[in-house]
Amino acid sequence: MNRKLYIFISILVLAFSACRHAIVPDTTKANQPDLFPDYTGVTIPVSIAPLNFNVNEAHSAIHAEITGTDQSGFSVSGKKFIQWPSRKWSELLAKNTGDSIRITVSIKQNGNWIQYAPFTIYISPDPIDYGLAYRLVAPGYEVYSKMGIYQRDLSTFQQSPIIENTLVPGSCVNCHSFRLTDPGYLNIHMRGPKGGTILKTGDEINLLNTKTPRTLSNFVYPFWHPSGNFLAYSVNNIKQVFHETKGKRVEVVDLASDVIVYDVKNNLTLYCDQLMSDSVFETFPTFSSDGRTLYFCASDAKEFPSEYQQVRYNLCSLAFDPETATFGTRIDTVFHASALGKSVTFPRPSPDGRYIMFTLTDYGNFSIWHDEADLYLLDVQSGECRAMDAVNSNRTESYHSWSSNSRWFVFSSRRIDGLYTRPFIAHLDENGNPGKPFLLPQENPGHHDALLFSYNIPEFINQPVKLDMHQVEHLLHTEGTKVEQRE
Amino acid sequence: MTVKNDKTHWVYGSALVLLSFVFFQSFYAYHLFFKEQVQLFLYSAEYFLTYFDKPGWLARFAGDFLTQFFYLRGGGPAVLSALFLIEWLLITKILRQINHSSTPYLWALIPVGMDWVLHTRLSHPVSVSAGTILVLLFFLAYRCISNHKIAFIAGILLLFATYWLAGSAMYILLILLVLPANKNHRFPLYKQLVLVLLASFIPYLFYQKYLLTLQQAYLFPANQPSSLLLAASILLAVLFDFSTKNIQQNHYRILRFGLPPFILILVAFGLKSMANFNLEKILSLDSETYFGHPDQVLRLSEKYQLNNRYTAYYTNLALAQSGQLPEKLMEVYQPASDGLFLPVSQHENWLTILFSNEAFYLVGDMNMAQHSAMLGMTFSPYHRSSRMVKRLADINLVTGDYPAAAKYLRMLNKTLLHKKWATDRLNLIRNGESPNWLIRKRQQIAQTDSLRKAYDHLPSVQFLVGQNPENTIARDYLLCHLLLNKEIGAFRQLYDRYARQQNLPLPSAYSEALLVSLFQAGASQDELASYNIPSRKIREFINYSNLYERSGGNPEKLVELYGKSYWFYYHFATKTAMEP
Repeated sequence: MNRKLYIFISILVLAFSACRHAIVPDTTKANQPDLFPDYTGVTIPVSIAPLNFNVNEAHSAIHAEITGTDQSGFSVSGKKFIQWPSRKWSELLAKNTGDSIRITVSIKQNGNWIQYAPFTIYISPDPIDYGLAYRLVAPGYEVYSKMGIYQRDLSTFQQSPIIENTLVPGSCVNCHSFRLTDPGYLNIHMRGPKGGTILKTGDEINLLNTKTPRTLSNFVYPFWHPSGNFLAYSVNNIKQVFHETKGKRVEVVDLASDVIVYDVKNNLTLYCDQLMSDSVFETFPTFSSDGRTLYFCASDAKEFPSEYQQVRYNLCSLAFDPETATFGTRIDTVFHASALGKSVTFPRPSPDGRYIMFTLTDYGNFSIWHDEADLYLLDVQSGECRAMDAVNSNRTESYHSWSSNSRWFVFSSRRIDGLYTRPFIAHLDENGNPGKPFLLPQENPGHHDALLFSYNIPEFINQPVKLDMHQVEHLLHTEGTKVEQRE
Repeated sequence: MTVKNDKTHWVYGSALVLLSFVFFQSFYAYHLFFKEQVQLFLYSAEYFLTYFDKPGWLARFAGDFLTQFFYLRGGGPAVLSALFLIEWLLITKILRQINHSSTPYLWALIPVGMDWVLHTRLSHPVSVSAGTILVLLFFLAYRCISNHKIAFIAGILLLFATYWLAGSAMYILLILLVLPANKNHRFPLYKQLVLVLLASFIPYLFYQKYLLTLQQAYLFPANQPSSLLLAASILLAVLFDFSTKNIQQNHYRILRFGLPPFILILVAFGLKSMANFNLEKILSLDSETYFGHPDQVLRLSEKYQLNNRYTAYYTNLALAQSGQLPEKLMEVYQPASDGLFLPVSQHENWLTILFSNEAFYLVGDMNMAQHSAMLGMTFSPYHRSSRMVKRLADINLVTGDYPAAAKYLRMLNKTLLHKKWATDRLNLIRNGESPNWLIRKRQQIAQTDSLRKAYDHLPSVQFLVGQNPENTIARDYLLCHLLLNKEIGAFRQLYDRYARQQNLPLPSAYSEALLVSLFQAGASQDELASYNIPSRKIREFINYSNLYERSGGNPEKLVELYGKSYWFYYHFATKTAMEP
């Protein structure tokens, strides 16, 4: 329905913006235009939807000319913003893959055309996955209200819901997770009166009741084993508190936390004493790309609230044998963040095994409200770790995930307004150098401005998520499968 | 004069519409103001497209478009009256077409009266009326089809289209399609059954696509099953009109003069049972707070004399704004400290959550005000609220988070009636101006940090006062919070710390509480004198104590003279279970 509407409206818009002649500028400026979103100098995949944009200056008309390296191209005019025709955009990108396109923008002010210096967009030959899945939620989450998990086709502007909590009023949907971008293996938690963990493995969907006598809580932060046979989860006693001063808003802390592994095939919770220490907060578990190492964040347990700023997580690892479903005996500290007075959250190993990307913040594990939170890249082989300056801003950079080929990553950032997280996508070349990130393109660049929800946990998916809602609804009216414990 | 040429029938519809206008304008205006406050209608294509996510998009769009005018004084009553008039005209026309009866305009009063009654509920959106009008128009267009086969197929298609465009108003179409009264288009029984089954099945067919519960799918865009009474009333109107044709011919005058008063009585009965005048009073206090009229809040509060936490909450807000909270604290009903702050909790209803930001904003607790406003908005029925967006914009202006403030202001800039408000504030940002209200609010903000739980109002206010003792509103909230919870020792301690040295006239509640505290502590005359408590108040305290002892602590002997003193509250007020 929406897709047809978009097409219809696009045709109308194109029909009415037929004035596609080259304009003769009255004034030429040496600087590049101040765009929203800022697409100047970004690196994009060839399949990306048109990067429509606006200019942050008052104007009565806007004109943009786009050209490839062979000087072929087209121009578009608009009244408020630039909206590229999808087919021509795709064709031009395909012709210039591995190269760049150049865009010259002019705006009309007081009857005069002002032309800016052209800017370049780089078109990477590295393909990107089909789309993104993310939760849209108001940035205040202590109590549940309207929220949903959605998927977005990256080559178009089409967004469709995967699940909304309107299906089960009073519930909270969160922590969607896919096995290496494969939506055939899906985890979603539904909290509330009819809650449980929805687990999709291939064609099978199950609802898990994940509270066990030995765990602190239901399963919380998930990560799939590459085989799809296991999921690592944290179990957390989470508390949300508010800052009194301006500049800081919310603090989410763990009063206790552990890490467990769930054996999908045998419906068993696997415990490891080293991951369940009372004196240590363990959280955010992830598996390495070969599935033989379990990474997690660990901090010495501290008192709350007196010591909450001293909770600093290091990146640690523990061997895991998927054949026998057993853990190693020695915990290694992979990145000693606390020694730097910092704290690691959201470690995410690249699917090719070369890197671990994580968020570094001053303290704690809930970096999404920390302005100082930035992305860092750890080279697993060399141990070198560096800030990803090309993608970081002076606002929060937080949750991130990798594309299936490890050449792209998506991360959430509050850089636009400091309040609502938005998904940015960046390229990483074979040497680990990130390109300038670009905001998830929208048909109307004002979309993000008018949206009162944050993009939460953006994850790449290699094909559309297919969830049988009849089955899900039926499951949510059952008790669910109680997870067993391995003795 | 033939019935057809009787132009006086306009009188009936006009009278009902006029009465509804008077009712909403004079007795129920604040419900309509509030309906606008929990809506946000933007003039943007992006916003328009969001309507396609759920059934009944055109009805919802039209309803929300009209609801924006509820912001204006008289706007809500005018819009509703106009809708009622259109409903009446269309139903009259349809009844006349399908029944060829002589008094369709009388029977058409039934659904209009029902819609009037339903609009007294916050849960009954304008989109239901808009959807009804759309369906009536569709049906009139559908009546142009004369071929029965085509009519049947068109009926089927129209059911789908109606659900898409008008949601549950589809049932009205079903009623009109299958009723035996519909002579020219009467379908055989099996075709009627097909239509009924189809209409019953359409919401089921789409509820998962629209990500709704089954109940929501059958009701949308209505929120409550009660809204379906409008469709039921149309059914009644059709049936009555059809079944009383003989009476209409033979007893035209009786019907003409007897039925309207009867319908009016039914409407009055409906209003009595469905309208919530208590909530109207609360909403009047709430809206006058929003409009920035604390004097009006105090006037209304005194007039209502309601004993509930919402009235206490808004009265306390107004008293604090005018610096009278500690002076008049005991003159109004106080449900302990529950009338100072409303909890932001999943155990509360959405109205409480939406109301709760006012106190946080007033005392300067901006993070909590923001949390409360965000949740208030997301918990409201449509998850967008012009009032909360304005509050969020102001909070971020106060905290200096201009990009966030500008985001909200740009949204409001796309509205018709909040545009000027937004433009003025956007100009503040552009020009780097700080008007007095902004300077005053900024002075309230804490400069150092501390953590607080969502429900820890007292430590938070104490922290704000500790940061800025000049924040008199927060100081009064802090001290009154302690007084209302009978924490006399803590009150005196904090009074000494934050208020005593300021040598201000001692407000009534403070002087009375200090006397209790000093008496309990066996304070010396010098110590008593150091508080500058008026001698009149000391005499009253002695008299109260004597009377208390003489009466053996009998409140009935004390209430007349001292019922509005803190001493009486301290001795006799008990906290019962939280009010709804």
